[in-house]
Amino acid sequence: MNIVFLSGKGGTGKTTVSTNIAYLNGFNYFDCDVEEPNGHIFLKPTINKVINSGVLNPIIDSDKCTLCNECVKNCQFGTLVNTGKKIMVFSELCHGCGTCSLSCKFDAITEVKRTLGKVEVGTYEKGKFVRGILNVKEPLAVPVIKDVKVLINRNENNIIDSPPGTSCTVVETLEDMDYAVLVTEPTKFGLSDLKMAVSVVRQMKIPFGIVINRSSKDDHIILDYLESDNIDLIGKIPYSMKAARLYSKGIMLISDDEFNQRFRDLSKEILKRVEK
Amino acid sequence: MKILISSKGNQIDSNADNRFARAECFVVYNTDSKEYTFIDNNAKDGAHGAGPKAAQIVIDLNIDVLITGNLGPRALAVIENTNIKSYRINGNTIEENIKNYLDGKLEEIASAGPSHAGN
Repeated sequence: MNIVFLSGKGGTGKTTVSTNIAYLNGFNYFDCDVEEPNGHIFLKPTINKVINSGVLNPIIDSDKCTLCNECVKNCQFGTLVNTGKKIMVFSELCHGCGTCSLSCKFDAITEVKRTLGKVEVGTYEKGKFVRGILNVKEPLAVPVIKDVKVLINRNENNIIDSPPGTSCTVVETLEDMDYAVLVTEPTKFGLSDLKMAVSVVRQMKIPFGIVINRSSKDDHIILDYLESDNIDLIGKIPYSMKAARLYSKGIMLISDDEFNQRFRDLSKEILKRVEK
Repeated sequence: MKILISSKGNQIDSNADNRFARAECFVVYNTDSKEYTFIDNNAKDGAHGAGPKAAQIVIDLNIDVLITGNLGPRALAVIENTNIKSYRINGNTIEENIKNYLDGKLEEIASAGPSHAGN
């Protein structure tokens, strides 16, 4: 069973909610927010294996290349440019699709793996811990996310922490998910990005519900939308200085009695929906 | 000689566009025939890689002189590998910039502007 936590907007509390839920239930935790993974700060895992993650990039043999332009014409990502004297390769733009080498009639292209980041594999107190880390300056996160997700065993209970946004990285993370928890906050930014996240999970036909984090007197911003769009509210986590203090020290909110109870209630509500 | 300018519109009195790869369109002026051609910038819509794609358009059109505001690091790297000379926009409209170029009033682009400046 795979439960994913996403938000649209960054900084709403995906990691706060997902780590606490994972710990309380003894579920495995997979951090797919590879540009900024931070679940480890709270779950404090022991890492026992590091896997290199990357994509295949073209290398062009200029002796064999006739500048026929087929590879340039077929590349969708602006990786290859034909200057008339040679083919220039912008590796950081390459998605590793292999179309260039397939389209080369002169056997001038070989593909070589280029490292984009790494995947750390280990355990935390209650289960498996895996996180992807994209190298600084790399724009291409999807291959690292794929390398994290390969390690998910569907027969176990897994929590997946998604990147923010609604682009390729999120779509890749959402593949094979059984249930999505959308964590939001009662602000107009939270609402705007929540709407985009809802449209993605709906298109991908993943059952979902909403958690309002930093719940306050402004909740109506989110609640009005949920009501008008007939969306399920799973629960709320109150806005609290105590939560902010614990979080800033990398301490799980469940170490506090009040929040422990809240997360137990929230867990129950989530699992009830997943098992439906 | 063929001059290409990044442009905000497809008229000769359109303003030149300081963005290169994300420019609305490209205007090509042929100094021999004195004719203008307007070309859609198909490179502008991708998330990444607009610079190399736009540079490829310029190469494929056999351009001699490129006039734009800034060239990103990748576009500049491509242009530097060709015989195309690039100059910085100075003036508002397409027509004005071509006149300024022909009068020798444009400065050559020697270094790259920041990545994704034209987003």
